[in-house]
Amino acid sequence: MGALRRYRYILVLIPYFMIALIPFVNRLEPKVFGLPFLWFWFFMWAVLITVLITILYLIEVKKP
Amino acid sequence: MTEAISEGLTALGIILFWISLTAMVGLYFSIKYRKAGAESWFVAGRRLGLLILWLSLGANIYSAYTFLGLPGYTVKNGVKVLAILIYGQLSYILAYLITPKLWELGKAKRYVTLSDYFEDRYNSKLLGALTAIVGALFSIPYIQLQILGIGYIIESAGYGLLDPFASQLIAFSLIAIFTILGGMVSVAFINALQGAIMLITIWGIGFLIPMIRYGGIGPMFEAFESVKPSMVLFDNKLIIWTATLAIASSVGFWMWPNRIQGVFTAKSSDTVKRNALALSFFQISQIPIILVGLTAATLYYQGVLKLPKPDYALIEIIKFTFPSWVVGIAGAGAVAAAISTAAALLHTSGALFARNAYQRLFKPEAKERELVMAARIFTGAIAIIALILAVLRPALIVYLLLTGYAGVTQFFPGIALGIKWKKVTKNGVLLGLIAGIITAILTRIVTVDPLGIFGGFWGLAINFAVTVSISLLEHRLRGFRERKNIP
Repeated sequence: MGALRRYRYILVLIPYFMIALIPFVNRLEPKVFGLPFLWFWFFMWAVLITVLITILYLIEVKKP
Repeated sequence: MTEAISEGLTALGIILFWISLTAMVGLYFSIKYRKAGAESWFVAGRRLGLLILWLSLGANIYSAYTFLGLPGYTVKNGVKVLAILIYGQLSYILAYLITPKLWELGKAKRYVTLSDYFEDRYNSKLLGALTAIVGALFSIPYIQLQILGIGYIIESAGYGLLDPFASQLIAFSLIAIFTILGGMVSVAFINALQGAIMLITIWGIGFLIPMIRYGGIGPMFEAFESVKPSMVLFDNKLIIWTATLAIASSVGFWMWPNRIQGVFTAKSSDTVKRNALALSFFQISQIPIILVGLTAATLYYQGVLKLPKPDYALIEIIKFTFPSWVVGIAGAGAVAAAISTAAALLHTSGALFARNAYQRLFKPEAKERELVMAARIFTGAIAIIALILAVLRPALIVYLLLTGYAGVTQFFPGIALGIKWKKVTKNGVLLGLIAGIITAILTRIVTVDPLGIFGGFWGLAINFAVTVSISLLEHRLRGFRERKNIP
């Protein structure tokens, strides 16, 4: 828990790396929930970023 | 024909009912806080709790751009819309990290505008006034976009019954009046109301439309792929554009003066933090809107749906799919989005001009009352300019907003370096800002996005380079003078 608290900001920097991965996910297959993979990738990150910020907040509120 | 008239009356009736309800709420708070003073007019007395802050900032941020612009942009550009979804979401990470700090500075030093920070941090009235004027000027196309949006909605939802110009004029003058009278308290409560109806509309219709028209998201995408294969995936040039737009605009997102001023209305820095988290849920709502846009795009390219302009996509597909009362509610939601953002922008632009330009440069001894009066006059003037521009120079909604983004993004180096880097100097920020703004204008208006790189990114890169090198140079010179004892 201590280490997690210390390096917590790395959590929210992860999404910026997803931009670097765009050339690799720029494809139709596999389809997920009927979405082409590229669209699924972006929609997934839109939701995941919220999840990551939530985790960051929970780490910060919890008393060390 | 008579059926079209009765449908138009139903939809318009609901929209007008909602506008008058908003107007009454605005008027109530205008009267209640009439004599509350400048801190109240500018930042609602810094006492908003999470729920009202969330709804009001949400409605402030999400506008006609989200409702009409995103579906319109999807019809015109397909996959490029993903770049817009992701920069908004990335911006909340920065909001979480930076805005609580800004709020604390604002509370301690009584900032009410973005330019107060520049003026105080760099001890420069010039920098304060420059950022105020630039911020207000870049807000004008954003306000213009809202007026255009209201016009499209009323024209389309009214089944052609009402003259769009007349409806733009009515809706907008109402909002201008309430903003001028009530200030931030009235804006915050109007926006809270608008935020609520916006969310209901988006989630209500977002998933239903692809279901009804194509029986699900999968079949809709298959139809889209077969009719417009080039719009489903990025080509190589678009990847660079998406990456540079995502970086620059996620940084620029919180540089809009109205959003920073919205942050100052919070009651504590923890509220600001939780609000950044809560707002990222708002951003997820862009997914159903994009799905609606895709359905409209597919129907449009299949030749089934007629669109006078891409920005009509949302209302036209709702009209095509649902009875007129749904058109009315969705229209009210979209009008709500436009009105709330316009009110916040107008209010902030007025505050910037009055406080950071007029008072600091021309009338340092101006009393509080006089200041609020000046802000009201500027607010009215900006409203009129935006209305004239909307009538004379309509353009695609998203193009207008991305240009504004490229401009306000240039505030970022001055703010971020000001917080994190001791060595940054006034001249560095001033020259960096000017270089960044000139670059942003050249790369958005003269040659749009050269080499496939978003104009705001060009501006940001040059801005950082100039700010840092001038600051370092000044330190060198100062060190040199001290060693040689030259004054």
